[in-house]
Amino acid sequence: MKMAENILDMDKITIKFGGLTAVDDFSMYINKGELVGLIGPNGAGKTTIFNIITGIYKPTAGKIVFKGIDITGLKPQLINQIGIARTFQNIRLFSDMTVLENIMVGQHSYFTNRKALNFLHTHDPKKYPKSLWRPWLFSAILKTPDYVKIEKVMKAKAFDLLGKMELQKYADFKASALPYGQQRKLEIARALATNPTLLILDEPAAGMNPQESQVLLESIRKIMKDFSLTILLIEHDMKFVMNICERIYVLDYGKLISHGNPEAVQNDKKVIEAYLGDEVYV
Amino acid sequence: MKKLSFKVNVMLTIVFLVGIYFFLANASIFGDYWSRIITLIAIYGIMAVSYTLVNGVTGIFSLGQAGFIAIGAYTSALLTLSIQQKQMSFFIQPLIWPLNSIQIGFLPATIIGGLVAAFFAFLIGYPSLRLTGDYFAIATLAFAEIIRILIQNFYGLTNGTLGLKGINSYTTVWWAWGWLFVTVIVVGSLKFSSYGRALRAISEDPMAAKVMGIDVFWHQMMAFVVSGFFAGISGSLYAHWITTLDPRPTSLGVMLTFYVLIMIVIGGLGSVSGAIIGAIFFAFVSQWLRMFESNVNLFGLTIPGVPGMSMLLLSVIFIFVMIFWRRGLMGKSELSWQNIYAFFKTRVGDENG
Amino acid sequence: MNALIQNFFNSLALGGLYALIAVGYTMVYGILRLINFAHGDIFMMGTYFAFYAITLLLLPWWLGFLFAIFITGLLGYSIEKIAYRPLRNAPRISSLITAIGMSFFLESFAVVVFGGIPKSFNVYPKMFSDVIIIGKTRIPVLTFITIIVTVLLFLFLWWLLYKTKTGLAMRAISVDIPTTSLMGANVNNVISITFIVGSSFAAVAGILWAMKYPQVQPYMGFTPGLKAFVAAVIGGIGSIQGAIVGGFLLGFLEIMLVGFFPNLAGYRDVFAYVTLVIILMFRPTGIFKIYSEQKV
Repeated sequence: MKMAENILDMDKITIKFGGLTAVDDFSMYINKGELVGLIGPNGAGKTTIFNIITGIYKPTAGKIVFKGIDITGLKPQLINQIGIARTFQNIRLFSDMTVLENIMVGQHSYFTNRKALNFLHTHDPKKYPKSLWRPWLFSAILKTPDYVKIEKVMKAKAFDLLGKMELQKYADFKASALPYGQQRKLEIARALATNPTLLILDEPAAGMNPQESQVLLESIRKIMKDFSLTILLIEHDMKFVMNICERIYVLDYGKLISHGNPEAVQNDKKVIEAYLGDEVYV
Repeated sequence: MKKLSFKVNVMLTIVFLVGIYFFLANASIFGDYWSRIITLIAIYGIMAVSYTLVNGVTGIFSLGQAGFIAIGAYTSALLTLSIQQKQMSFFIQPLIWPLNSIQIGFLPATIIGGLVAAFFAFLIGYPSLRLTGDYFAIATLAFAEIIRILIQNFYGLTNGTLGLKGINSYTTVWWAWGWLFVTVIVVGSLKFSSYGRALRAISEDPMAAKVMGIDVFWHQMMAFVVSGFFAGISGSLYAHWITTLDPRPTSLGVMLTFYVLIMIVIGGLGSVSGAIIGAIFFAFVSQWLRMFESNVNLFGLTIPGVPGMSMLLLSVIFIFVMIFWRRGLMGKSELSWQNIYAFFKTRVGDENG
Repeated sequence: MNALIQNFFNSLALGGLYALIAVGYTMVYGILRLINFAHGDIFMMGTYFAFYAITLLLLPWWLGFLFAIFITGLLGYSIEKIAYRPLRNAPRISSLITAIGMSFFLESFAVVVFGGIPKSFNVYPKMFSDVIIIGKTRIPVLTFITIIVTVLLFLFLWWLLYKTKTGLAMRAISVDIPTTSLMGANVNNVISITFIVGSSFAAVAGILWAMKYPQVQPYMGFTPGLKAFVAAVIGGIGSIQGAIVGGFLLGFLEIMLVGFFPNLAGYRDVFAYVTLVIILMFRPTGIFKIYSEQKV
């Protein structure tokens, strides 16, 4: 059997807010192409871990390595440009902009920013070539031919993405005008527009009925294949998690209490204790 | 709704521009006074459009606009003043070298004014943009005041409280409207580019924009600097329109920022066309109400004027807009032929139905 | 040495004035998270009210001052009710814009109604401008009065906040409006009282200020207002102790700057504003930390 390539490696992450330890000595790895779940009771620190991975919080201690690059303490935008995209628990779309524009905002830095590419180049010159010249502010203002070309490519790719997510008929709708389930989908599409290798989903099925979450489940499987993604997700819906995830990490009070495949986790005493009384498990 | 074709759009735009051209070419028939006001409208327009780029499109609330306008005004005025005039004006302290021995044309002076203002926007933006919300507003206000006080005290550079006099009135209708045209093209093009989308995203949710890979700080900085550049341009035009400059708070101080704020709030924060409409409205209302400020002779009866009336009324309108109609005239959207068409179409439809 | 004592008293008086204005900013910010931009202009209106109460209504000076303080409190109350209350649930920046509009309105109002030309504020008893000479130190009576009035008002404020039910509600609301209203406090009333107290304090500061620099004009509120805001930020905006400490600190720093570097006198405001920016950048919570950084 071929050793799976390790894409994300969190090593002994601890974060404290004031005197409070929100995440304590948390370690986790994700292999390329895996679908990993992160579960735990409310307030266990799941979203905090997402915020640490995406650079919104700086961990007090510990190290995060992504694709062999130490990303601990990097800025959120740089982490995104290196290849981690996320959604939010309470949808945070750009609600005053159209669906198409939301997608194109996601593409913006991929098409216009050289910073991430240069960062990768200095990290490993052999693997990552130096960035090519990319259109910048003045070409955008003057609408130079190469900028117009880029804009065309962006639009085509955005429509392509909308098509894959079955959102194309909403392209000119304001994001806020979309039904709830479609907004969730759009948020995933917007994250995909940044060309990630690791996609982080924060409660993607929240507020959905069983039929809707079944559809979502299918579409997550599909995009995973289409975009050759690795996915990490938080979810409250146990059935959903057990159905979709290959491995599961269980968090309680900021500590890792269990880890393994769905069956192993389900039968873990510690997990049952942590969830005891929690209506989700029943 | 029928979409207007590209051809129709282009043709309407050409007709519109030609119309403006003829209007401006014949502005002198309205008399000296009104053609000066028509020039002023364009200057206000530039101030408002550059301000709305920051306060509307990018959604960061700066109160430093007057500072950049003042920098542009002083820089270009010092460059275009004749050497004799400078020697005459600077009697407390002579003007420092090399400004005391150069005089350049209006266009380069204006551009340099804009660039210097943009540079200051960078210097001020660098610390201020780390702050958010009302803290950013107060910090930029403080910086604008610092600029004004420095102007007031640097006699060797700005002639301090004595101000600058005898600036050539270079700003014609054409210069002002030409620069307004450039400003609208640049800011409009920026708003409707990938960068503009990023700016609008930032204005809605900076955190979400960040995790979408957008470098919020540098994008805001970019908008702030572009805005500073055009504020400087408008300052230069203003200096060569009004021909005297002084650093009182009521001329190039916080008052001016308020004026521009009124324009963009009435026009709709974030709309370029709204900013221009706001500027026109502001210029007309403030000029029209001047009537009440000077004595009026009515059949031999002199009604005493009340100074300040125009600003009182404008401030009332401003507060009303904020309370009851916060999106202003245009909100964040722009005036386009399509929108105008749609507007009239629904009106006509109502009548027919 | 004499200069030092003189400067000491001057800075106490100036700091007291800043503190009196800053308290108004900080109380409103503490409760509504709103920078009441019009506060400096409320200060200005207070001086005009006093001026006209004495010259037009021919009230004796002390009654005129009390009248002005009362009317200014009423003004603060109406401003909140008319302009800020409708926007309480709007984005914070909208309330700030409205506050700026209100400031602009009050200034224009003063220009139209009171006239734009500065008026000499010589309506107070002549003995106030006497100078007490102790040894070789010369200290104006007004300085003493300012210090005494300031101290008395802060004692009153302390009593109001810590010994009355209203004060308790005020302190509770500044922590959490929804919870407090659930507990039965009338939030609107408490906010109104906050505006009345803040505005009356500003009126007192205005009258003392106008006696010190004996003239009044429509734009006189801007600079003291902004500097008192600096004081509030130095102390930690939202904290009343902070506003008082910040006010005195700013007063001291300013007087000492001018005292020791007379040729920098023209830059004293620059100094205050630079302090503001530095504090906002490096310690936005000021001396008395009230607000911690927002969570994502």
